[in-house]
Amino acid sequence: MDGQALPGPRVSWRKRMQPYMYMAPTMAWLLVFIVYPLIFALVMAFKQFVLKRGLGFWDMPWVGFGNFVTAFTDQYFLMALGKTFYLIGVAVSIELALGMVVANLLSKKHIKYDALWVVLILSPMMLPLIASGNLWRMLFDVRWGAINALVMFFGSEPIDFLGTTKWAFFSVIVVEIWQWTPFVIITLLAGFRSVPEEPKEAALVDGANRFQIFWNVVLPMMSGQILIVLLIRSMDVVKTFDIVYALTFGGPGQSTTVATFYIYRQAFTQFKLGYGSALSWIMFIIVYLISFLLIGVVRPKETAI
Amino acid sequence: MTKASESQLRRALRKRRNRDRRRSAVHHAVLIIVVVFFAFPLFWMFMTSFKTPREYYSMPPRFLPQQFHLFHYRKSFAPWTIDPTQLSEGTYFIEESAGRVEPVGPNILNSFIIVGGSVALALAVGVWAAYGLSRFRFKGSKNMGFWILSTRMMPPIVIAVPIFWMMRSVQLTGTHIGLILVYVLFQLPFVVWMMKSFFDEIPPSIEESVFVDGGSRATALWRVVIPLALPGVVATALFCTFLTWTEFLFASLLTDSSSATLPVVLSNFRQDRGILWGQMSAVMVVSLLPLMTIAVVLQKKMIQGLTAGAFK
Repeated sequence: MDGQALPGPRVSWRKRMQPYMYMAPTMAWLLVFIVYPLIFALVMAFKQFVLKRGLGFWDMPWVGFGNFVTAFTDQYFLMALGKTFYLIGVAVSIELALGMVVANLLSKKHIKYDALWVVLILSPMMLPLIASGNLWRMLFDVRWGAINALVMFFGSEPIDFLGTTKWAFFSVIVVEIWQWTPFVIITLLAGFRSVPEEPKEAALVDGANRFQIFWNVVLPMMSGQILIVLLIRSMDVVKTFDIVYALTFGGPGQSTTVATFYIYRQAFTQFKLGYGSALSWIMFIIVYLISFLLIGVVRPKETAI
Repeated sequence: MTKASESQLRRALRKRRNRDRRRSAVHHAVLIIVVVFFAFPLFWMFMTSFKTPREYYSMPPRFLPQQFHLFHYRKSFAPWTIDPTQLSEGTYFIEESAGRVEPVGPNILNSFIIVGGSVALALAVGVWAAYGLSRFRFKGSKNMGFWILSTRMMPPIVIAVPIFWMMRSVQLTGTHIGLILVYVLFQLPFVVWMMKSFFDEIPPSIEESVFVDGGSRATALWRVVIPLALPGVVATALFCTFLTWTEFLFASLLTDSSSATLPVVLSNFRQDRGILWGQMSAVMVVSLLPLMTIAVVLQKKMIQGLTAGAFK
């Protein structure tokens, strides 16, 4: 960061305020559209919403901590939170493992047409999430889906992927992996390509085998990228909504209702806006706790955030 | 070198070459499997958009349609080219034609207006902060930058309820403006951090020549810095388009049938008689095209955007 030195006491007030003037539009926007809604949601969380004609916001009854108490005893909400965490654990670890393998392969010199491979592998990222949910609903269909054609080809009975609780969550995980592993791959590929050759050759001369080189030379150099991918992907999995909406609509039963989808249903199909706000705040706090925890791990490295 | 050791060496080399070749073959085979997993669903979608219902409902499924019908595309984008009397004459498409999905032309226009408007606004709002973070060292600069970046971590559902209520009370639901205002919010952290990294690459000495001529900082920014960072501005704009083109949650909450964007339309293909798979596939193929184009244009800059602010 070059540019002006820290303003000393002689610098005029106007000049000292200059940087803040530059920050003002962005900060104002974020205050109006994030901070104000969050405060507003907090107020709403202490109210019970009765949608009745002519009943204004301030006329609705206060319920104190009622909504929060309900939330922590609402087993469906706790289940939905559990599903979100389960999805983070399973999907992100598979994405990371698959992403490492594919990115490592693509970075090898003997792979021909690497640009073509990359374009083909990246293509799922270009599809709107709601469209990939639709697309996979088509592929998973029990009567005429392409995946069941494969299942039957191997002599098994067709599987009702989206209609049974056992398979529905599995399907969500598959789509999540299909949609987002490409992101993991390109980010890690950039990392693999930036690892210099010399240390690898030096290790080879010292008699290290390929696995040792990967584990002791390449991996430590990539730790920054890996942690960033882990952070970004975990935070994005928490946001999972579109795929569930288009693929299973949270069903069958509650089997694929993740936290975001549960909040959506409470707030916008049952119109419990007060309860929805309380749930939003609980989720907000959890997400910030996790992200600060993860950033605490990442920060000492060469990263900026 | 004796003859024996020479042949030994040659044998060792051949062995090594064979091993390398085998390894390369295995690697390519693995890549092919990976590519099939990632690309096959899209191939399937593409083919379904040309199939008749009889074809896409067949089991075992057909990989290619017998004939590449453009019916689904015509129905979605140019319904006036379809002659309804011909349909009742026993074509394949009778069950499809029963669905009453409106043509999606207006929705594509909505998507362009909302995404284009929000990208322009986000750049106009965010570019100042990007410049400020790049050029000044001031009290709280690090915290402000970090706070701006951290807003992208927040799940959108968290502010969905209050934003919905706010927009409803100022009567901005069902308009383009309401959604544009929200999309600017989603794009701002990326605008600020991507543009900051592009500004960082421009040496401050260039602006000093403007100061010598008596120009202000704002003049320097608009006359010198932004023209120099124009490729960065384009990359940022395209990346922001990429981010919001697919947004669904707020689009579904804040639009009505006249202002719905493409993702909202894509969630509306459920009909009484089932889902119009062919037509849905056609619309999905079309919704994919802008992003494909952007990805080809952006290439490496896209990774920079996706991990914006993460690396120094």
